[in-house]
Amino acid sequence: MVDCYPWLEQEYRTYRILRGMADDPNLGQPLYGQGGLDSFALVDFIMHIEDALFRDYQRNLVLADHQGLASVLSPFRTLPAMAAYLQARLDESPAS
Amino acid sequence: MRISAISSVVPSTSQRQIDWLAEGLLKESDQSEKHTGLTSLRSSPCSTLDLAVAALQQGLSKDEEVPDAVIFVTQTPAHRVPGNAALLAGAMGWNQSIQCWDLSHGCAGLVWGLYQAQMLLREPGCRHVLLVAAETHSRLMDPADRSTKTLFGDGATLWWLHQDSDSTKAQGAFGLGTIPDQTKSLATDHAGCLRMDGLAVFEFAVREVVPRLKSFMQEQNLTKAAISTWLFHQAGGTVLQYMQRTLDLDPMRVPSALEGYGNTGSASLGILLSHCFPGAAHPELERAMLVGFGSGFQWGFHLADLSQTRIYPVHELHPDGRLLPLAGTGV
Repeated sequence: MVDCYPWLEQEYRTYRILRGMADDPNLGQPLYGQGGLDSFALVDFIMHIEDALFRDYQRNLVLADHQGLASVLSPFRTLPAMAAYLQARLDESPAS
Repeated sequence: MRISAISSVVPSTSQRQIDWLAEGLLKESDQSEKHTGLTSLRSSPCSTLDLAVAALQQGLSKDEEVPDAVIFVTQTPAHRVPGNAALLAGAMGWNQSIQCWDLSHGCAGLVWGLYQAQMLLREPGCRHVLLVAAETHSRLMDPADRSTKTLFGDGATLWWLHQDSDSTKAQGAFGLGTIPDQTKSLATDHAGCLRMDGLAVFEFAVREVVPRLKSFMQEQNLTKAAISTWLFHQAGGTVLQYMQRTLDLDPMRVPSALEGYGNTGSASLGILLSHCFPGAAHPELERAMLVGFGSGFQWGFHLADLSQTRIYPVHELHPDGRLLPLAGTGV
């Protein structure tokens, strides 16, 4: 993977369609909270991304593990933050 | 410590998805039940004390000894003063210098209560303890707050605990801890309504609880294969799924009982057992790992032998005061 953001954005759109949510989300708004996903849907979306990573790139990652969440700011509050986090996790554990 | 009996009581009245739709909390397109794991939960004006008294007065655990101590775990007591434990003892006529303990713990409270009971049972004069864990979350709900109102339910569980006459049997270890929730991610506000930052709670579960559970297992020289059943506090559907995935657990060993009850706080582990394992013998519960976690932020782990524990099916407390077994429990 060279650039996570477009892939993640597409997966977010796919996820919303799969879950019957309104399409054309405002991607600039927070991923979590007012106008975004509630916490349970966000966890569901994280699992969707983990499954999609394996499907598309054969990468088996647990995104919300204790190392990944070590920073004070959650990487799951916005789509760009999540894309940056995803990129870092993929870079630190290259495909075997 | 021997656990002889477990019973669980919930109000017969429910809040359902159709109610949430009518109230505008949910939209038709919402699939929140896929995330929370439930389409209905229990909600009633009765108190945590009402639930416990009904269970005792109407014969659940009627063969048990009068306890030397009562431990009542709740964050929604019937009154601010006095505590539920003394009121329960009074309602039952247990007036002979009984020890009454009230613990204000949330979703990890059942395990903390078991730890308190184990300490009491080490005293020669304390042979029998009744542990009650109950919540009436409905008293804390903001009717307009979807994140809490469609998740938290009411219920109670009663555990009968005794000094173990078999001194050769090793006591199950406990793992308890707290990382103070300084941002009040799961707390009541100034109006007394329960507020939840669900993402912060989820991150606590995977960042703190999961690695500590792994460490606890290592300290106790336990492998995952050695655990016959994993009993998790019923926090919410996707949170439990994710913890299970992170720990790489066999789903067949992780029962669930969210639907119809909701997250009942410290009562959820007992309701889970009453829902899934009613009966007198349970070989699958010989090495049951109890995992509580939640507000505080607190966690509690305990490896328990429940194989010979009499587990009563979930009972419903009806508005007319009758207590009836809930049909369909046991999976």
